[in-house]
Amino acid sequence: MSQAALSNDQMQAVLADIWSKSLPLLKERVRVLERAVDALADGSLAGPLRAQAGEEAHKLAGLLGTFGYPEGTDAARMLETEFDAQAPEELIALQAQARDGDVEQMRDAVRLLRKIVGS
Amino acid sequence: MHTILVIDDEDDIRAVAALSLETIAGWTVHTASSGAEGIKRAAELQPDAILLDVMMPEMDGPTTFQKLQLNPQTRAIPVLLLTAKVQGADQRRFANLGVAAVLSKPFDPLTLGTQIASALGWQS
Repeated sequence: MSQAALSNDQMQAVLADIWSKSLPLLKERVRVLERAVDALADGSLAGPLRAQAGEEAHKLAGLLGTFGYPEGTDAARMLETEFDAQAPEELIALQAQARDGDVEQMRDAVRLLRKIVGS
Repeated sequence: MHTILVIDDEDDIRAVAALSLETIAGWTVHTASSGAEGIKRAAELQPDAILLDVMMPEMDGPTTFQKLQLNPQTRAIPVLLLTAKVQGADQRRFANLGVAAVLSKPFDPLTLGTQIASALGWQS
């Protein structure tokens, strides 16, 4: 491989610029997760929002670690797993779990993601 | 110098991957934001390798890879899948498609080029 054209500091500065430009979309993704967790908590989580939340969590999981937030990737991955139920019976089970307290863990994960993206 | 095509629907991932592979690996990077655009650009550009995201709307990574394989112009280009799916079953399913490698998201921008070069047997 050739010599890096940018110093490490310069690269970090460019990464910070990309991060800054990405923030509006990242905040919107976290808002979707927050809506989905709220809906899960009150038993009204419908398929389309659940599917969207799973996709947004997946995107966040794949991105946050790249920008130096591995704990954000872990939180998003946990949410993705929770929302990734495909069959209706699994969704029902998920909502039952929520009533048992898992929703608090999901809220913690969303709070962490909000902190990372500054919303 | 190698030429690589990055196919990913996320602007930020394309930007970071391009930054990493251009400035650290020293490669020429082209990008595409969808499977359909990627297939077209791959045929035009004939890159040395393709870095292909798995989860994309309309045409996902595995489908894009299969279409690249069906085209004589792009069949021989090695493809590396990039995925945030961490389950072993998912990783094995992707590897069994016949891709050159499966790389995990999130990736480290400081080592992405090394990972790709290692997977493809490219000399440093």
